[in-house]
Amino acid sequence: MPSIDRIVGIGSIAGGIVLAVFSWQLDLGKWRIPGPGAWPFLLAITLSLIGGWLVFRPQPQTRGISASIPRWGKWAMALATLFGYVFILEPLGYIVATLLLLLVQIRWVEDRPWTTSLLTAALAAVISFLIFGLWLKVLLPPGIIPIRAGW
Amino acid sequence: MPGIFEPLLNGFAIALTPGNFLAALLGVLIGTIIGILPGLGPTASIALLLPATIGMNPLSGIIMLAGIYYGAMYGGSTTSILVNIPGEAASVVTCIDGYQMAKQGRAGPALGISAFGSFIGGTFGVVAIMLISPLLAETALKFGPPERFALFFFAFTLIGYLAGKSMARGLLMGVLGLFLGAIGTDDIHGVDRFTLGTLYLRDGIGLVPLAMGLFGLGEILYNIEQREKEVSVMATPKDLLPTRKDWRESIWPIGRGTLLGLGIGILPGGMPAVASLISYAVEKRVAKNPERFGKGAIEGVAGPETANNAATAGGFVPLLTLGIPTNSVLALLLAALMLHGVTPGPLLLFKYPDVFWGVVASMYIGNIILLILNLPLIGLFVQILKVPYSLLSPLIIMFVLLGAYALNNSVTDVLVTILFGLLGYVIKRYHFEPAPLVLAFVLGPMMETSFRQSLIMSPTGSIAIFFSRPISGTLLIIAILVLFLPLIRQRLKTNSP
Repeated sequence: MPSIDRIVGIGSIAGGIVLAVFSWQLDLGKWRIPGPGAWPFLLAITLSLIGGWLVFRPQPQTRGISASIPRWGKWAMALATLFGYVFILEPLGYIVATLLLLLVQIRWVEDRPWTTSLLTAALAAVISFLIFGLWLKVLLPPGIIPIRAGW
Repeated sequence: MPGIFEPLLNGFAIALTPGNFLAALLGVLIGTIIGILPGLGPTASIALLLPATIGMNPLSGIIMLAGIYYGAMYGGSTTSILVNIPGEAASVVTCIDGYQMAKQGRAGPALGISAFGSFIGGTFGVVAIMLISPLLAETALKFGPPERFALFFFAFTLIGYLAGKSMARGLLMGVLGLFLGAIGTDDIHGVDRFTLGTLYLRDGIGLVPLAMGLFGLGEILYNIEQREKEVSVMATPKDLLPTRKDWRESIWPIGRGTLLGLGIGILPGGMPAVASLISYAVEKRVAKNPERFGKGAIEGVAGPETANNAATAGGFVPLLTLGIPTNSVLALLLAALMLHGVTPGPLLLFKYPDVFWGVVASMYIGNIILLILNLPLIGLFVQILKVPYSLLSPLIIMFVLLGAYALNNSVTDVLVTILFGLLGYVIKRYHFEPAPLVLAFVLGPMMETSFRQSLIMSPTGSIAIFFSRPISGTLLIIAILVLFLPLIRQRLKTNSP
């Protein structure tokens, strides 16, 4: 089984080379007047050097990659809900989008009963809206519920 | 010495007038709330409240804004300890051991020692402003770009100490952080760097989405994956305050943190985050059992929290005596002073003694208010951990995303937070540490600017400028030793029979 340090090290060397090329294209300038690419170029070289360090001197106790994710279904659902939130936040508005986010997280990711899930999600969405939207005047998107926060 | 007590007493008389006392109380209260709430940092809050102080008495306005700053530094540790979300860059280090203590049911002692350490660091910081301002101000004047770069480079080399057993892993995270900090429009040439053609990245990646994603969301995604069923990720909270043993273990870290924080805070570029990082590295270095660090060592909370607050107070020395702000929050405070017709600098003490001594005295009062406010709140904060984790984690997700959105009212910030959450999950799953990445991200832009400025001011355009100046040369040599000492030691070990 390959060591994580070696895999990360190879990735860092490759990443360092790519970054060095892009930095070069940005213009390195001269020692007297370093260009915008000089600093990232130095970082790219350092990244590759550290990559080499990890490849040739990996931590002996480093565990190998375990491909299995114990609860991958729940994990994928949680992640998908997070990305979904980005897309529904403005069209549906803060209260509805947050309620849905919390409902999925509590009911399906965390396996809590329906009543607890609904009640917690609704209360948290409304209370956070009152605190941040109405009290702290954060401009939260109103969406389908026409309460304009932050005004 | 006799020349200090009279004006200080006068300062107390000014700071204790109802208007100024109320301003200090309001400031530290707002600051504590800002520190606890995700997304609202002291810089943004002071910028928002600055116009509101125009109608106020100038001294009350400045007292309130200063209170927000050190109140936020105080409050920032609470979320770091309870839910692994750093409220501020300076609280990133507190996450490492503070959150582990909370997981072991020791959130109370962690919060307690953080409150006491912050109080001690903050109070001694104020004493330093009072006693050694003129002397320290002279040292600060010697800090040009090469010295700043050397200080940042020194702090960077200490990042390896945050990474558990592998220094290479810590440095890798650090370089990644430096690179992420380089994304955006180049300050000197105005060229876009690694922005992928997007407008969003022109301003660079925000610290809040990065830190909240890496720490908060990363931890939650990791826990979702690992938990078999409803288990307490958090043990039931036990003591509410530090025990005698905790105090024994913390007293020296608090002392060292105070001195370190003060020394670093007065230097241009000596941000509280740098002070807390160096303090953590020092504590780990001097500890009898350094392997306890990262697993809930109270010294890892006491030292950095003290250093952070001492540096916050120490930052007022160059601001008040030289008119040099050492970070963005102090730059706003400088703007506030000037807005009220007060020009900070060597003449401040003579031209506006009421302002100088009033602010100094209000900081004593503010630190006491913070301690009184925060100690009773520990019991309340710890109750949060009694909420089942299956309910707490979705609520943390909500606060993280809300905090990210509140920054610029932008869903892109929310998306970036989630992407960093995914990165934080990967980092945690494969036993890397996110703290070096976040701290290097904060240091990066300033490190680059001072590096380039140094080369521009060097007559020959060579890196010799860093070694030809005594302060920068010494700092760089120490930094290089710190970097290579573990390798040399390892070499000696393998060569010894």
